[in-house]
Amino acid sequence: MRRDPPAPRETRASGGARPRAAAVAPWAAAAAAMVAATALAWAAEHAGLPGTAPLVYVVAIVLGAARLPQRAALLGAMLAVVANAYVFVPPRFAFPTQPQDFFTATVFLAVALVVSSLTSRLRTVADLADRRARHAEALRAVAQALGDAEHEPDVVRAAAEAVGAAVGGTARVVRVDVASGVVSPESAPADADAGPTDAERAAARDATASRAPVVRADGATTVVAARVARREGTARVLVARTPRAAAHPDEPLPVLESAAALVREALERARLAELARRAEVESRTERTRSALLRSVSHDLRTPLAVVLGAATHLADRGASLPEAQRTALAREIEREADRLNRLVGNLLSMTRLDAGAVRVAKEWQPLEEVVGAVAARADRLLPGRPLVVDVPSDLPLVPLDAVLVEQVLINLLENAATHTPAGSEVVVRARAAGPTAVVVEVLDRGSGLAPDEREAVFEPFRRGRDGEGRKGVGLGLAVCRGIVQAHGGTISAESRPDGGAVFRFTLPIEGAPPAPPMDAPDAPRGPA
Amino acid sequence: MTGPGPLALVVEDEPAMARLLASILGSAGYRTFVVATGRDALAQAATRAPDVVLVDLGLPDRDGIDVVRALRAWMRAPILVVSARGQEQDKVAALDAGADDYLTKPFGAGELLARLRVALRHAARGPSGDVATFAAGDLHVDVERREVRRGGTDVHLTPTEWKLLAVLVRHAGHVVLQRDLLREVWGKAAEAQGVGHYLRIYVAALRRKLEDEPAQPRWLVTEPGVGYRLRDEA
Repeated sequence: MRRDPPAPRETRASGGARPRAAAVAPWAAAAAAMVAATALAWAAEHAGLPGTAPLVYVVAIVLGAARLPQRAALLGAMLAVVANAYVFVPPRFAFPTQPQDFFTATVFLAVALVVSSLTSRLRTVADLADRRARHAEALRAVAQALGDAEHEPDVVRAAAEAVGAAVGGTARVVRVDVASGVVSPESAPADADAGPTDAERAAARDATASRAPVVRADGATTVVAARVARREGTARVLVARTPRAAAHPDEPLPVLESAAALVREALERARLAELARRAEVESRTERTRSALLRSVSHDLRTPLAVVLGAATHLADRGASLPEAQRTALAREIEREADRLNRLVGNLLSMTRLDAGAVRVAKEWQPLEEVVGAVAARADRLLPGRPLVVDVPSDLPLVPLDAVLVEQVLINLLENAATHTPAGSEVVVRARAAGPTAVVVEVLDRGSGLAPDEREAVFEPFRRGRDGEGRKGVGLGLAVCRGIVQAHGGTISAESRPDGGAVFRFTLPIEGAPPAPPMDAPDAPRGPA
Repeated sequence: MTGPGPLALVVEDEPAMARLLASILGSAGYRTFVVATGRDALAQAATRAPDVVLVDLGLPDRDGIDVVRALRAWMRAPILVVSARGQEQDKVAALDAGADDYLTKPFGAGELLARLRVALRHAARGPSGDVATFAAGDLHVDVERREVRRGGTDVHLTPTEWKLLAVLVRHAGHVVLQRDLLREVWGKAAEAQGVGHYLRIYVAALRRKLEDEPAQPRWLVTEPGVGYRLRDEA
């Protein structure tokens, strides 16, 4: 939709010789038109249509005036006067001397003047309309770019790019400290340069104090600055630099003024959106907190009740209790305290994951080792349930944070323990999924998962569907998801076709670890 | 042990925890002396010459790590850090400062006593620490003679596996920092290169040769994020 007026583009595009040709062209065209008109009128007279010559000339003058610059049109008209008098007005082939020749001359020149000034006015109007259309188009592009920007830094960056394109130069947003006049760039033009030039800084300073945009000439470029917003002693200014256009030195001005308004709106929108986001986060945090308090009051108190009950019983009646019962009570305290400890661990992890404070220290690890460390604690995690570990020893090394992935496995086993009948088997299985990932599965023989639970189980403070007998604040699986995602992996859960549930997570493998130095296959035996 | 039991200096500012530690230690034949501040810890360690020191990291007057470092500067007795700070970097920092072992709160009484036994046994062996043999279960290692037997049959190790095992045997029962293992087996450069997976590859290989179930090791256990430990009692 972009229309450039043809003439300026031609001059801009042409080399050294062409402009001279282009300058001569209108005059030549005017002369040629009159030669052609003379020929036509001559032909018409000899075809038996006398007296038509002035009409033919008028047509030629009108056409010339409509197409050519005014001066060329006037030359054409003069040539027509001379040609008409010389060729067609008796005495033929004599130069104009008759009064009617002067009359013809007046008419021809008047026609040329009127038509060419009308045309020139039309051209100016068309040119203006064209520039307006281009401005509108440029601003539309700016508006669109700004519309896609959500956060303030995005707005600033989009403004610099889009406004630069709109004015056919570069643009940037700068911050001006009103009191000190210090200008600091907020966004740089795409080709990272040395920062705002002196002229840009000066224009930006001037613009902070002025409602209207400021124009400054800087060598072969024009610098335009428009204030975007001013708040608390600092102003944001949109500064653009374009090559100076001879015809319209102030060309970027209206575009920049409107663009500044667009940027102001976009920044305001980003600010409000940020406020809304913060409010949303706060209310979500609030909801989570109250869910946490509800859960904590139940899930922490249940094991505490067991601990307190067993401990007081032991203290008060320990001496009279049979040995086996004393031990059983102590073990009960141990188990519940253990559970409390894991609960606190998960609460801490969740907080740290939420706050983004978890640093994933990935190192190349054999999964076998991580699973082994967890399996070593299977007695406490899965009381009364056999654990089957199915991890091939030839699995590739996986970049992972052993401490965190261990916690994932611990939580998954604890989850299995709370959702399966005693005596049922739990399997930890790992497989390579092509060269770029491993899949780890924890399979149980519990009640499985309803389809709508598959996602929901990973939300914090969710419990399984049968309320009673469930333990843990429903944090364990949320922690799993947080950790797996922090590794760039995914976690999912579903029912097994033959009963029970499977929790599955993937860990991506990127690149390969450097191989250790070569080692001889066997050591020499015997004393060294 | 004959005569009075070994003296344990307990540096713990939580009265309940201090009482519990004293009770557990007392029942196992230790004499205990409890202090609540780092300052007292340094003073009492100097005057009482304890056989072992238990240090909590969260002390009211100064960081437990500093206490460990100050004690280690002149004291040979083993130092066991007992702390609720469970982050791996805390453990590494404590071991770096000169602690012999690290126990995260909460812990079981049995685990505490086992760690103490290991620490005391080490101290009894003297500072040279070149223990050449290791025996646990059906596993027998003689570093001097480069001999490994498992259930009566010889086990063949590669030179690198040997180096690794020798370091672990020398510190049997204690956790050895991953960094220290890397340095001792592959040299100073490896320590800086972040090639911790060399270690894990060779540990996995060793486990396949030494353990009945390599995936659930009984002797060569991982201390996640810290290092490895060759357990000398199951």
